[in-house]
Amino acid sequence: MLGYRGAITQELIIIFLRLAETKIYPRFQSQAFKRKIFSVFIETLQNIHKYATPDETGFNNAYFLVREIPDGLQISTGNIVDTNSMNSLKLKLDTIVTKSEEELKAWCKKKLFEERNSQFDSVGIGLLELAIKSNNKLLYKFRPVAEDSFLFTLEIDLTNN
Amino acid sequence: MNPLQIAASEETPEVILDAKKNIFKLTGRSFVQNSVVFYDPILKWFSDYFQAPNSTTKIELKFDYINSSSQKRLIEIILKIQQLTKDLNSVNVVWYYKSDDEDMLEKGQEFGEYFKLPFKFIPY
Repeated sequence: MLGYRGAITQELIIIFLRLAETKIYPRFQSQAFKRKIFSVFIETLQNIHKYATPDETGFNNAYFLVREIPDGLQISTGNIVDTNSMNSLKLKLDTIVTKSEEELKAWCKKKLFEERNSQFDSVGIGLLELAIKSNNKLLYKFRPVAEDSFLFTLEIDLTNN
Repeated sequence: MNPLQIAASEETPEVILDAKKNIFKLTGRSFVQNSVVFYDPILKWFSDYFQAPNSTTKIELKFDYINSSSQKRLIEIILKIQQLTKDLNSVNVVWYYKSDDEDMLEKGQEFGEYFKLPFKFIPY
């Protein structure tokens, strides 16, 4: 449906959103589901833009795939992270996937209002939003590709219900 | 005091802050990458305005979408307004949301619960 490999920039995020509006939204009736797609596109892509480890050319080298699944979409991303990011992401994701929707919302609210100045944890809210929007249907893996270098893959199933 | 007006873009809301006309509103989407750069002039404008504010100030927020980083900046702005306001009832925040957008209403309600300023929620 949509596939891209290369650097993720803010300009490219805007182009993907335009594509979603013209090519993907017409496949779905629900305005709420279209808003969900919009939100997940932004949070996944901005997370890559902010936190992926740049390659030797200075750009993040990532992929972004969107495919149709029964009654929804599957969004997959992959990008390179270093060991520190891998450990931090894994810790957060391992915890996130054990939480209920209500627990995720409460956690997100706490981070937003009470811990918003914490630089250490700045990646957290985006991941929590993704978990909430996808009813916690997140699949992730870290595969070693070189020393201090892992391919972080994230698969999100968005269903129209 | 000079008004602050910023036209909407695909990633930033329209901003109209005009003390003379008593209009204070942000409208549209907000998912700018560097939210600090975009929201700092707004924070500064309100900091100046609340040195000598109008008798009543209605702050209108009408977001189609606001990402987590922009939400943080918005919290900082409203906190600043709350700190500078001597009479909390002279300021109210109107949070508009699309009538079928429960997430945006819920987000507004979270803001409303956190701040002491009065919040009103209006569907459109």
